[in-house]
Amino acid sequence: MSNKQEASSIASSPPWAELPQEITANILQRLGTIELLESAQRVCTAWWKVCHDPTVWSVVDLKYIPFTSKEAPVLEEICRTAVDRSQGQLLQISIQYFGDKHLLNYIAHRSSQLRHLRLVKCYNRLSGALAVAAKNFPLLEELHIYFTYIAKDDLEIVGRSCPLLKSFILHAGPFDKLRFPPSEDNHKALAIASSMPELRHLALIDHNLTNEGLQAILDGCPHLESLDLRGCSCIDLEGDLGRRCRQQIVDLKHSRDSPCDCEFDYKISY
Amino acid sequence: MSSEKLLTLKTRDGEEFVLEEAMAFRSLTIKNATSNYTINNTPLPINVEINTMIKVIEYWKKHSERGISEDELMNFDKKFFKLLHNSELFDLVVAVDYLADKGLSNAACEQVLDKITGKTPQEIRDIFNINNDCTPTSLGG
Repeated sequence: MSNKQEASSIASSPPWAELPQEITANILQRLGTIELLESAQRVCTAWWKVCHDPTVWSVVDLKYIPFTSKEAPVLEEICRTAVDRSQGQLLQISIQYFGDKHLLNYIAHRSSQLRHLRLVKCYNRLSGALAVAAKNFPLLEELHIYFTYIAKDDLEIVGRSCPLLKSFILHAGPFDKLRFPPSEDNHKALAIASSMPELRHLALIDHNLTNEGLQAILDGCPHLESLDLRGCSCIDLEGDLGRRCRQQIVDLKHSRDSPCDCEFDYKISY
Repeated sequence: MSSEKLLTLKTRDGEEFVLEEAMAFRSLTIKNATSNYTINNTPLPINVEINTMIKVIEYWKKHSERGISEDELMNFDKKFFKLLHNSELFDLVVAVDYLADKGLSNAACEQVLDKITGKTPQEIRDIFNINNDCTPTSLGG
């Protein structure tokens, strides 16, 4: 290093707070939602401004973990703040183990650009709100639902409201299987088949659908490349239907395939 | 092997160097600049200092190597960024934003992010030597 360079590197620390807003935003947008609100925005005025830039709020991911994370009502408040800050530019949101239909409505009325929605362990708290919300998500491409009840009629409304839907995951909860008859799952398959023609990826984990439902899906979703039917013990892939599946689907997971890389556990029944 | 097309670049502090065009074009800024100017051996001026450009080229060279595995690249990246001082990282972040190389920009931003994640505001200020100019009223909502 020249003497000049040596001197300047000792004398002053680089002006991190004076970075152009776009660069700071590029860095801070990678921070978690809670850290943005509790840490980053309190560092200095420049970072406060960046944390009010909607580009930093395009992805929100919040999870309630009993005894570890903040309480559910606080997470709901944080979620609303994040949605507000996004100023309509929210692209991706994941809510786990908290939230209800009011929160979903709040998101829906402010996030028409949403591409990816993930709902985990909302159980029965959404009661029909997803169908209403979907009407505000015309650009939705991915919908991933785990342990959250959605009725077959609502599924159809979602499909029709989101013509760009390419990836749908529905991981049933154990309570669904106890409360509803097996035929409900076939009706859900029919709803998917009739309303989600652009699907490339479909996962129906731990469902009671039969070959009739599967056939309808293969007919109704001609672009399907990946199909995950783990835990669907009523499916029989031995005959012609199995053959057709293997021909049509590039990445097929049957009911008894390894549950190892499944995001959540399910009960394997034989 | 056919000869690679070469490009002469001149840094902000007056240093000239030659680079394979294919490698230099990892920078969208350089790529766009060359399409707008006739190649007559005049060096293309770039708004980056030589010390920082050396680091950028070291990164580009490694990431252009044929047959290199993901693991080897990951290890290289870890070592590469570990050796950077705070000020070198700053210069790199600014330079890469100017050069518009998305891959290196992402990597550099992730490095800064690592220093921020899990820290309190004061810890962040200490690491980056940022002045606390927040007033109670400016943190309204």
